[in-house]
Amino acid sequence: MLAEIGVTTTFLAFVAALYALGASLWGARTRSEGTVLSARNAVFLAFALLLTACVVLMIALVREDYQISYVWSVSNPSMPLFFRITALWGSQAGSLLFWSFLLSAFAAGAVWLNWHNNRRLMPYVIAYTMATLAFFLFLSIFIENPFNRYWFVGTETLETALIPAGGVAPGDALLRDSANGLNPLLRHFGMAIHPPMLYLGFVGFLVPFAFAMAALASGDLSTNWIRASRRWALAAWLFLSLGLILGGRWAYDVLGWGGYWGWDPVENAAFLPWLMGTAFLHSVMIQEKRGMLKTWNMFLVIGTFSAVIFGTFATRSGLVESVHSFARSEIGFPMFAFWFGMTIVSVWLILWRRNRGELRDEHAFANIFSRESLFVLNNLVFGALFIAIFWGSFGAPIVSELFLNSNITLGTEYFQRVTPPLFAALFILMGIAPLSAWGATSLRRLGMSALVPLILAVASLIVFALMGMAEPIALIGYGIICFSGWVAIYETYRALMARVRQHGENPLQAFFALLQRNPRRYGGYLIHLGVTVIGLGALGSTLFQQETQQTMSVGQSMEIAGYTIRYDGFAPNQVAEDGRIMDIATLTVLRDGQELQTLRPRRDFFPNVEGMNSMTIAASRSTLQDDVYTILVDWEQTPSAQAATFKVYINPLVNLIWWGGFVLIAGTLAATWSGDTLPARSRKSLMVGATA
Amino acid sequence: MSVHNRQIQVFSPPLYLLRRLCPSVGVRVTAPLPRISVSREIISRSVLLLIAFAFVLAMPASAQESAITDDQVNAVASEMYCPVCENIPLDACATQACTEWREEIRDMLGQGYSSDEVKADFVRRFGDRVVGTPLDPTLRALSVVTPYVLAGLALIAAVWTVMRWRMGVKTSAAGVPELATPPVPEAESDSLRARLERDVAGGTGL
Repeated sequence: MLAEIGVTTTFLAFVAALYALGASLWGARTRSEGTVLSARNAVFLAFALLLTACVVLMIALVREDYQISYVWSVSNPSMPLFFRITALWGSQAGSLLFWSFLLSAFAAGAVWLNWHNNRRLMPYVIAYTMATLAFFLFLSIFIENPFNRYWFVGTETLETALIPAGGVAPGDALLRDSANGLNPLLRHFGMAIHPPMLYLGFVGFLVPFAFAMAALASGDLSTNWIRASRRWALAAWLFLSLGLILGGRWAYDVLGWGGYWGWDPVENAAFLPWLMGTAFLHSVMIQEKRGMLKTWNMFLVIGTFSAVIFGTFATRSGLVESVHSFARSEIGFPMFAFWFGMTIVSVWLILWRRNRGELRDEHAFANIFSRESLFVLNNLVFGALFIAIFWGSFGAPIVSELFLNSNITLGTEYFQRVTPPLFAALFILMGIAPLSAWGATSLRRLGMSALVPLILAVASLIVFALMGMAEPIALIGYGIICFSGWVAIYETYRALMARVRQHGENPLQAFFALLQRNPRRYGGYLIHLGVTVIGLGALGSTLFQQETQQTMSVGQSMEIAGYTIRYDGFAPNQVAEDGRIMDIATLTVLRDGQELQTLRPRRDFFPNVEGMNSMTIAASRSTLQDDVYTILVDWEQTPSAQAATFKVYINPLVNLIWWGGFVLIAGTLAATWSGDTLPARSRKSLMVGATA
Repeated sequence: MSVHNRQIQVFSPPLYLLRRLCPSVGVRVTAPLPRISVSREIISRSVLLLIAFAFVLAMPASAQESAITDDQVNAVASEMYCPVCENIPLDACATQACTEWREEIRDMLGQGYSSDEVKADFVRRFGDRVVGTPLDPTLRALSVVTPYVLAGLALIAAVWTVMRWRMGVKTSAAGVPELATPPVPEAESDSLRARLERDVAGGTGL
C-alpha cells in the first residue's frame, strides 16, 4: 500500500510540475492572470505531493517494508531508528526523491514570498523551477524509482519493478533476513546533516538562477531579480558552506586518513558551485551599487547552477569514482543532456539580450583601485580557481582518456601545487577590497587605510616567529591570512568605537546595533573573519601535520610531537546493538609523563553488508592547539592482540576550521537578516518618486 | 600479526647476495636467477657466501638495524592511488589490495629502490592512474601546465578588459553621455566619517 501511495503521489507531482510549466508560459504569453495563478497553485500542489511521497518512503523505512527494494537496500532489522530515517537520502533513488522534494519546497517558497512584488517575473520563475523539477521527477519515476518492489516472476527470478505481470510478492521473512543495510560509511551523525545541507545549497541556487532567467525572458532587466533572489542566494550559499564543512568533518571522523579535504572529484564537484556562487555574491553588489557587470552577473548565476547540475551529474552518473559518489546509474545520459541543454539555452538568452543592447552597463570603471575593480579581480581569481579545480578533477582525466588513451588521476599533489597562489590572492583581495571605495580610491588612501591592519599582521607574524615558526612559506601564508582577518576586525572596531563614543553604548550593544544598522557590511566582515579562521586552521593542519605509524606491544609507547602514546590493551570482537563487530584498542595519550586522555580507535565490521563492510573509526584528543588523531591499522590475530599497529597524526589548529565555520554561519545569518531588501539606489529613487 | 610484524629488511650488497644464494630467506626477490650448471653453482655460491659473510661482519651496527619503517612506506604510498579504490591515497586505504601494494613498496624500498623508482615501476605496470600527477612527460605537461595557460589567458582577458574600461573612461570624458557618470568623490566616498555616519544612520553599506 505504501508503495502505491508513493508512486501515485510522485507521478501526480510530475504531472503538476508539467502543468505548472505549461500554464505559466501560456499565461505569460496570453497575459492571462488566471492561468498564471493556476500555475502557481500547481507549484504548491507539487510541493504537497512530494512531501507526502517523502513521508511515505520514510514510513516504509521505519516500518521495515522490505518488499520495497530501496528499503531493503538501505536498511536492515538491526539498524537503529535514527539511521532508518537518514537512509531516506542514503542511496541514489531515495536521495533523488528527497532532492526533488527540496527543489519543490524552494520553488514554492520563492513563488509564495515574491508573488506580490515580482508579478512580471513570476510566470518565468515558475517555468524554470518546474522544468527543473519535472526533469528530476522524470528520473525518479522512470529510471531510479524508490518505490519499486521485489517480485518473484516465474519460480526463481527476483525482479525489481512497480507491478510486473504475473509477479508474486516474496515472503517477508526472506527479505528481512537478507536485507542489506545502510552503507557503513553513512552510519555517522554527520551524514544526517551533511547531505541535506548540500542538497539545500544545491537546489537553493535554483532560485537566483530562475529569477535571472525570468529577467532575461521577461525583459525586466532592472535589479528586481537581484533584490528578489539575494536572500535565496545567501541562504543557498550558507547551506552549501555548511554542507562542505560538515562533509569535511564527516571525512575527518569516518574515512580515517587524518584529513578533512582530499581534493576528491566529488568534494570538488560541491566546491565548484561554491566558488562560482561566492564570486556571484560579490559581483552582484557591483550591479546593485553601480549598475555594472550585468552580463557578467548573468553568466555567474548561470555558471553556479550549471556547476550544481554538472556536479550532480558527475556524482550520480558514475563519471567519477569516489567514496562520496553514488553507484553507477542509468541517469548519466539524461542528466548530461539536461545540463547541456539548460546551459546552452541560458547562454543563448544572455547573448540575445546583450545583442539587443539591454545589458549595457550604466557606469564605466574609473579607477583600478576602486572597489568594483577589486571585486572584478576577486571574480577573476575565483574563476581561475574554478578552472584549475575543474581541470584537475574532470578536465584532465576526461581529456587524457578520450584523446590520449590514458587513464589518469590528479591527486593532492596537483591541487597543492596549483591552488595556493590563487587562495593567497583571494585572501589579499579579501583584505584590500573592503578598504577601497566605490567609484574611485587613490593608491595612497588605500595604503593609509591598510596601514593599521598591516602593522597588526606584522605583529602577529613576530609572535608566530617567537613561538618557533621559521618556515618562510608558513610566515608568508599566515601574514596574508592575518592581514585579511585584521582588516575585518579593525574596520568593525572603528565603527564600534564610534558608536560607543557617539551613543554611550557598551561594546556589545554597539556591535549588535551595527549589525542591525548595516547587516550586509558587518555580517560580511564576520564572514570574512570566519574564512580567516578557517584559513588559519587549514594552513596549520596542512603545513605542520606530523604523522607516524608504528607497531607496539601492550605496554609499549611511541613518541610524536612531544606526546607519548601508550598501547594499553585490546578488546576484540565486541558486538554492538546494531550487529557490527568492533575490534577496539585502548591507547593513553601522555605529555611530560602526565596522562591526558584515553583513546579507543577501532575497526568496525558489518557482517551483513555487501561490498565495503568495514570501517576504520579514528579516536582523537581534540584541543584548540592540535588534535592527536589515532587510527588502528592492524593487529596480531590473537585474542589478546599483544602487538598492534597504529597510525598517529598530529593535526595542529585543525579545530579552527570547525570554529571558523561557526563564525561564517553567524556572519551569513547576520547578512541575510537585513530588514531592508532594497539597495540604496532603488530606495532613493523610490523616495524621489514618492516626493514628486 | 597479519601484516606489519615482519622480518627486518635491510638493503645492503652482502644481504642482497645472501638472498640471491638463499631465496627463501627474507624478502621476495623479483629478478630471476641465472641458469648455471650444478658444480659451478656450488662453487660460485660458496665464494659469494664467503664474500657476503665478510661484508656482513664488516657492516656497522647501525646499518644492520636500518629496517624499512612504516613511515618510509607511507611517505611513498601517500603519493600513490590504488586503481581499485576510490581516489583514496594508498597510505590511507585499508583494503587488502592496498595493503599488498604497501608491502610491495616496502620490499622495493628494502631492495634499494628510491621513491621515484618505486613509483615509476608501478606506473610501468599499472599506468599513470596510480600516481597523483602523471609521470609521462606529455600527460604531466597536459595536467600541470594547462591551468597556468588558462590562468594566463584569463589574465590577458583581464588586462584587455581593463584597457577597454580605461578607454571607456577617456571616451566618456570626451562627452559620451551613457558613460559620463563621474566617479564618486574620494573625500566623500572613502572617509571614515561618511561611512560611519551611514552606519549610525542606517544606510546600506558594503
